[in-house]
Amino acid sequence: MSDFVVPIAGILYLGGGLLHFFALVTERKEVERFALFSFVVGFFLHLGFLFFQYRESGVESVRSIPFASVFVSCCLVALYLCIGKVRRQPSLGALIGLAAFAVSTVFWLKPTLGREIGSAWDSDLFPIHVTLTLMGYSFFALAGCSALLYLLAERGIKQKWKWPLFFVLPSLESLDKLSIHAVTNGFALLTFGLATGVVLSRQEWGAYWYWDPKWVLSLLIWMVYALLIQVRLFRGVRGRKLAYLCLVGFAAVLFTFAGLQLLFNTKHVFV
Amino acid sequence: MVISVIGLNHKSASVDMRGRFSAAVQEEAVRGLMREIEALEAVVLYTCNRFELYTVTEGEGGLRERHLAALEKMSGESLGELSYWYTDEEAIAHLFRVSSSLDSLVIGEAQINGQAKEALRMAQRWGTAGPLLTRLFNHSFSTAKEVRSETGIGKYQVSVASVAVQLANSIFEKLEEKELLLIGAGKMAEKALKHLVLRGVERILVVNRTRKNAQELANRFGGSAGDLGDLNRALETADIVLSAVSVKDGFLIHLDQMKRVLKERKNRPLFILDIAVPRSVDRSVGSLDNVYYYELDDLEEIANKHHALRSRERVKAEEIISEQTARYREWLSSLNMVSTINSFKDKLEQIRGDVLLRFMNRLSSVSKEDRELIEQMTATLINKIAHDPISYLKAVSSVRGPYPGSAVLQEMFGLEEIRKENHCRD
Repeated sequence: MSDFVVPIAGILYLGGGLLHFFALVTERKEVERFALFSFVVGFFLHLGFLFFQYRESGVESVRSIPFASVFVSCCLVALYLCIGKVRRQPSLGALIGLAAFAVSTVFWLKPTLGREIGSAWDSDLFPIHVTLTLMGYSFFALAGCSALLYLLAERGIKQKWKWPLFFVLPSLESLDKLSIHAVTNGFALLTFGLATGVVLSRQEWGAYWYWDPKWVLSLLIWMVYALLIQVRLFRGVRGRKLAYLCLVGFAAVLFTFAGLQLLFNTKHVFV
Repeated sequence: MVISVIGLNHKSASVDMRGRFSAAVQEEAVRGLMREIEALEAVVLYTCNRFELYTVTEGEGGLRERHLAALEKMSGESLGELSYWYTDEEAIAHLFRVSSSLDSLVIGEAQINGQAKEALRMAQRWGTAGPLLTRLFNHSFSTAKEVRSETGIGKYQVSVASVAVQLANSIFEKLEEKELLLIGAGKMAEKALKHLVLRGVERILVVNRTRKNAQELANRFGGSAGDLGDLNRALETADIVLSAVSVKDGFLIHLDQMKRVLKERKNRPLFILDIAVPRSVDRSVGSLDNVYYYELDDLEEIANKHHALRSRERVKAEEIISEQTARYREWLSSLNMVSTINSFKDKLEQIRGDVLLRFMNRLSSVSKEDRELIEQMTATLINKIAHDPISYLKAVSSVRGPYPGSAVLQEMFGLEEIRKENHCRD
């Protein structure tokens, strides 16, 4: 079943994204409804897939499929569906659809992980560690999309673009708020995710901390977002600078998530 | 049978002149007009920007004169130059244009559609709207809906003030929560303020050289007032700054000053609109993060751009209107006596056929002779039923062309479907 369910869901996300773009250009509500419907169907396909995999093989399912890709793309779409009617704007929907599609494909192409990593799999903490961290990443992805849109809209207003399309982008203020809310939530999840990760590391390899690329980068991501929240709350940094920070953080997430294992040798052999 | 419209709108006549027709929105007045014009049907559309009288009359000469005379009698003014007059195709297209808000002061506004609906409702209550005008108005509503959904005619704001509001909306989430700082209390300032208040800005602070004038303006819009000495403090709390005061040399708001202010405001975004001529704000403040600076020229440029885009949408809208006009005329021409009688007979025959088919199957024991008898009986029955309506229609249709009686008959018996079906069979 997994052979076609996951790609279909990915294509539904892509279709939803494109339909959102179409709704943006034509400003037609009914097109947007189709786009949202496409998201919802994709989401439930993914959710059903995850559920059945879990029923079949329990925690093993995390290992037997590129779990992370399915989980993050379906989380991201769920977040978009949950952020409220006012914030759900076709332009943001288009970006989310493309991002969810990208995440679901890139990792679908990745070969299934076969390596054993020992007793960590059996720990009760393991699924908690994985889900919390990945949910945190999904929030960061949402913040990244919103920040990207912010930069586009801000540029348009600053440079006094005359094309009318940029009037249909969400307001700068709402994008700024969405980014910071998403980052705050993601940060809380990531903090718990990393905390459980550290405990698992102790159980599995004997020490809380290793100078391993995965450990270092994860800490770095955590610090970037900590810095972002700190400057926003205490220095009043907002707008463009904050949007750039969101993108830097998200780039680090993407690298840790996807590129790390190709370049470095890490203990943390799963995503 | 002629459908016509005589009217005055914001382009052709003054507010006072149009105001004289407010009395026409009464049953007695409309009936009086109909008597004088010898109209069969009439609907009056009266809004703050237009007065229009739609009528259906027997097609004879001197129609325009009859209409003019009736209206002039009512208003006591000569209206020859101030009014417009359309008949048939032009009148139909005119109503479609009006309903679609192509003829409005603010093109694309949605209000006119509701007003036209109300006009029809009233005329129906008084019994002055007959089948032709009822159909015409209803057709105009569906045309308006099509224009609204298929074109972007209402999307582009073409006035400087609306463009400013649109920009404010693309910066801020909710205008109601934002504070507006108005610098200046002159005519220009007041006009701009009015627009922003109309669009939902509630918190207002007016500063001016003379505090008294600022206070006066602020009182009228429920805001507070100050003098230019309060400017710096005001800049720290405001979200939208509208400057309509120019100083002889230099600027009211400088770059360095703005940098200090931004620190105090913790970088909350600030939208500065400079509508003073010459400019009152140093243009380079626009280079600061979270400050959005637009001057009058920028707004005008956007408004012009939108104007061009809207013209393109207008072409699309006109296409829809001429298509719909043709469709309405097609319906009108189907109203002549002969085709109505034919579709009426077809309809009855169709019913007879359906019923026979359904019951004959059940009557298996009936002999062939009896079958024929039943056929004859039902045929006679429908002929008898059809006889009176048809002779009535023939009697009242001494006038050629579409007759309202046909429309009633068509509606009562759902003849339009029959016609469509027959059309498809061809």
